[in-house]
Amino acid sequence: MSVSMSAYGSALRVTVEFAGGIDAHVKPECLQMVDGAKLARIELPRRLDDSRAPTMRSLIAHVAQHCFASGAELFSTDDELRPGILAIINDADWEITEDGVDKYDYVLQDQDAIVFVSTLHGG
Amino acid sequence: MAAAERIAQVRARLAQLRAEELALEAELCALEPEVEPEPEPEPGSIGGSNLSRDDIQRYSRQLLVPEIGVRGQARLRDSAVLVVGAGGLGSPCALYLAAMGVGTVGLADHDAVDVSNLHRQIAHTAAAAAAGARKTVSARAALGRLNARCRVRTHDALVDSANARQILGAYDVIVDATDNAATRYLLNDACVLLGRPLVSGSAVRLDGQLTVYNHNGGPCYRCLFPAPPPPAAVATCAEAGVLGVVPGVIGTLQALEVVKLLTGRKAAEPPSLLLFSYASHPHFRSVRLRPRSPACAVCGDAPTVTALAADYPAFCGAGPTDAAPDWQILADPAQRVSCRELSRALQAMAQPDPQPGSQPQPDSQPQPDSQPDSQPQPDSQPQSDSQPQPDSQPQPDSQPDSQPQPDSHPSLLLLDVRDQTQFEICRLPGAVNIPMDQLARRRAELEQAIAALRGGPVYAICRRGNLSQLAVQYIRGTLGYAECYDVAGGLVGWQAEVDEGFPIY
Repeated sequence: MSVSMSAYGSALRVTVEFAGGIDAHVKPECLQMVDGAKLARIELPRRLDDSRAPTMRSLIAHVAQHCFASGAELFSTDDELRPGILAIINDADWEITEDGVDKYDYVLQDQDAIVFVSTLHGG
Repeated sequence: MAAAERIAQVRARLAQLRAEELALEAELCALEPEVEPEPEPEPGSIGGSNLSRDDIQRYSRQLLVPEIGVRGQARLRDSAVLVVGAGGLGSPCALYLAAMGVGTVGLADHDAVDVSNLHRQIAHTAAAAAAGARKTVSARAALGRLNARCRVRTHDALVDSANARQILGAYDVIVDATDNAATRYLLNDACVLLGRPLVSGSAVRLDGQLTVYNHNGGPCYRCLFPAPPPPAAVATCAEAGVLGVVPGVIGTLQALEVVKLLTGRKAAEPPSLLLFSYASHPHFRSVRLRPRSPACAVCGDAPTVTALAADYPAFCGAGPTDAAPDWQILADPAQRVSCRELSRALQAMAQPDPQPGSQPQPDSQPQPDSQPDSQPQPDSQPQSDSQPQPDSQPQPDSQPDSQPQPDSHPSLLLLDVRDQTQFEICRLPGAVNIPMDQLARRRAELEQAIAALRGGPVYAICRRGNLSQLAVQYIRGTLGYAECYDVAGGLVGWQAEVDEGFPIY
């Protein structure tokens, strides 16, 4: 993605987990065991090239590009999640945001814990 | 009489009784789809509560719990709960509902018991699988054995747009214990239109999910998932597998959520999604969910779905069962061969000395030859990238024809494109395993194997002849090698057409 480390200070660090089956497509080398959980540590610049702060949209594009060997099309189309995948931010459904804020425009905070979970249908 | 002889007699008698029980249950099911519970003893006449003496004894340990008590128990007794899907989720859920004293339990399923169900669908028995019993009949027998005071209604039908209202309407709570997206959307919409809470569970592989929809200002299924997932992203238990206890965990928790709904406890809880995984630590994670969406197509302020007229399978791009797909990707039938044709090709190159250890051995025909090959076998190294092997996992017992035979070249390549886990379950002798999703990455290896053929044919095979068509497209298209054919029907077809001793999973 068109981001680069810049003079705005240290990187923004978030953790990303994948669950519900979409995890099967994630490159193993992207994941590490942290306190019993397999997660990806993602670093983004605090300001993108257009000087805006990284959002969920930026994260989804970054993850799609860097964390998937194949099956990225099951995760997202460009920078939006495919139907059937929920984003969870700090243990809450990402739709629980301030009124009027597009969920994709949620501005990532340092140490945010994000989970992308694909919905299951089997039984 | 020798003990061994008596043991054999008793076992035979038990098997007979088990089969007989099912036959009788099926007959009863046809005569009275609704079990009339044992007559109610005089309630409340002695002791002052509105529970009968029998109920007080039976549910005493539950009555002692203040959150349940006499009031909660009476609520359970006076309630009707429908479990849609008498499978891995529905089995434990329905068993617990009946055991705990829910007065009426409905069972809806359109399927018969199969032996591959038994590792997780614990309401059913080996006898039911052997007899091919209806799941409703088999599960009704299980509930009846547990608690004859429970009224069990069976609906031996696929719940669809036409019958959903009528079936669901008679129940207070609906449990979604189904196995496919189309029925999940249908049940959601029916519950919204009927004003019923929906206790939704799901499980695949090592993961489970649980949510109560359409309750107390919380979201419905469509609020969370307005659009269905692409069918390619939907994993079913039949294709992706499932660890038996995982739906057991979720189905049991569905019964718990039903109790909370019936006692009123659930009204005090904000909407949440419970995630379970075998692999995660801790196993459970609860996520807060959004409230009902005003823009939702069915439960929103201006709904567009106002009746169950929709074609749910078309909406989801997949049918209402987890039956295996039957893809027709290769338009040209000349690019596919039957299993019999493959068998003839393998026999034509057969050598008199069969490879030891290759399995399974078709016993009804000469051993198709493992292919002699001067190249190292592509599958001789366990793949460590996408599927790390558990420590205790035995390696494939044989690497077919690993001895180099420098003076010969293989006359054909049998390319098995299933993942390594499936390849280890069963395979044809001589098959070379490169999983479909690794073909591009292992292109050099594949091209080397094809070059060694000196023009000989490549046969691509998989479980059912679906994925292997993509492999043929890749080899013909990207690699430009036209002597490449799909084995139509795959290994399932091999069992049906060539060797009935070949194991199928």
